[in-house]
Amino acid sequence: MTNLAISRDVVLHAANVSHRFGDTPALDRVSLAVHRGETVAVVGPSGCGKTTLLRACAALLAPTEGQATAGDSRVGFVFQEPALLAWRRVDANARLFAADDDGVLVERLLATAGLASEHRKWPHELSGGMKMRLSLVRTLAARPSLLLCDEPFGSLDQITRHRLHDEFAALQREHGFAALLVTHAVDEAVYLADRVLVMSRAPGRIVAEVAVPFEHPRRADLRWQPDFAALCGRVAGALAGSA
Amino acid sequence: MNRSARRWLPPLVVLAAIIGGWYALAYSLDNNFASSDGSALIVPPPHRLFDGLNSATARRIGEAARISLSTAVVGFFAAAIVGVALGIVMSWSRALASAVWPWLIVLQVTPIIVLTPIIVRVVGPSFGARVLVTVLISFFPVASNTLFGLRAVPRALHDLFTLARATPTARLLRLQLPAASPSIFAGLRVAAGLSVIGAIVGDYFFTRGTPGLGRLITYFFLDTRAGPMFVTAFVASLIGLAFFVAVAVVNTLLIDPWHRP
Repeated sequence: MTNLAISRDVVLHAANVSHRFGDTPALDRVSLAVHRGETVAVVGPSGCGKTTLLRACAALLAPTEGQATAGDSRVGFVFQEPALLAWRRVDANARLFAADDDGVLVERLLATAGLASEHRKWPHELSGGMKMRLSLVRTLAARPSLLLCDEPFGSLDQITRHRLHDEFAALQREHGFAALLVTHAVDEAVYLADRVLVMSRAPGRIVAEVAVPFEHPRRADLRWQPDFAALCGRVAGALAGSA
Repeated sequence: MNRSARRWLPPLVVLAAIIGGWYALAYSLDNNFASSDGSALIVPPPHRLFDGLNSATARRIGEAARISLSTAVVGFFAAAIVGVALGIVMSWSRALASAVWPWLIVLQVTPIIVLTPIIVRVVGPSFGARVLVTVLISFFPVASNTLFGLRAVPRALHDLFTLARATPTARLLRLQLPAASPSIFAGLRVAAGLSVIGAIVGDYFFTRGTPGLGRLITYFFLDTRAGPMFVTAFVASLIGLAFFVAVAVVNTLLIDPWHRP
């Protein structure tokens, strides 16, 4: 295995990543790069290996072939489920991986996420949307330069999901992290990302890349614009063609 | 019926049935076998439970209760430490767990009397031996529940600590043990009752030193003093109940606020 040369601007680089679970191929020669401050979304049908790709990028899984490296990036991971520590209150969960002198940052993140007044609650006392926001706050409190997100909004209702999209984008503008966002929702991918990668069904491979031209910050009403719908249609078409 | 009545009425009905059954048993047995002074030989009825319980006998029961309580407390904490440690060690490797697990079950199902000579040779016949019996009887639910709890930590939480490059010690102390604590406490509740049983059983086999409740029950039985015998048994039950409640209270304070099964 060779070390990948990463340009200063690239925070994540995957080269020909393939993976098999026993005899079952899950990923097929996936290559991608994520640049500083950029959001790349990966969409694909269920079971196409999106989560496997993300885990390989996070070094939580050693791919059968190829290599994924985040170089010197501080990697944060937002899981499908909030993955909160049930025995720690909201503020203690938020501080879990924060540096000792980052108390002010944690308080500000909690306030931004609308959780300041909930800081003494237990996780089971929060709604699904609040839990997800807390999960995001906890990840950001560790000051990641690269965020890997595994369908973080997938279990939420549409109103909450749209609100969290805007909060996510606001936090990204403020903290400047890059993000690789795995999702099965085309509109979410187009709304949040600078590029959308479309994966085929298993074994997953990248079959299309769609650039998203909309300026940041994006307004919620972008979702109802014809250009947005057209772009979603392009991604959905690529997705349908890959399945 | 209000909520309070609904909660308390069923156990009170069962208590009334038990007392009724107790009277039926006492009179059916001791009408035939009552002693010359009229006191019961086998089962005294509830209202005559304290017949023959003079101050000297009460002092003996109190002293025996102190001995048994000490044995149970020391044995319980030792069983908790041994059980949690075994659970942690077995959680490190499935191979290790499968190597150790069958022998823990063998130890659990082996009658303690078989081990008596070994225990006497290893720790002597008095307090230490009683504690060891208590540990042998009560550590298993703690070990098995600890192992179960440690293995049930969700993968996402492990991933979280892997990404944070947590040391094994930090992972154990900040993730695995807190996550497993509801399960560990369930094991401790069972061990609390078993440790009192262990202390009483230990008394039967290891008689050197001041007798505990087990030895005293045997003494009253051989002396056909059914009243003091039953009072001693009740004291043993109360100690077991107190143990159970103490663990349940700690569980309520530490686990219940955040744990939703």
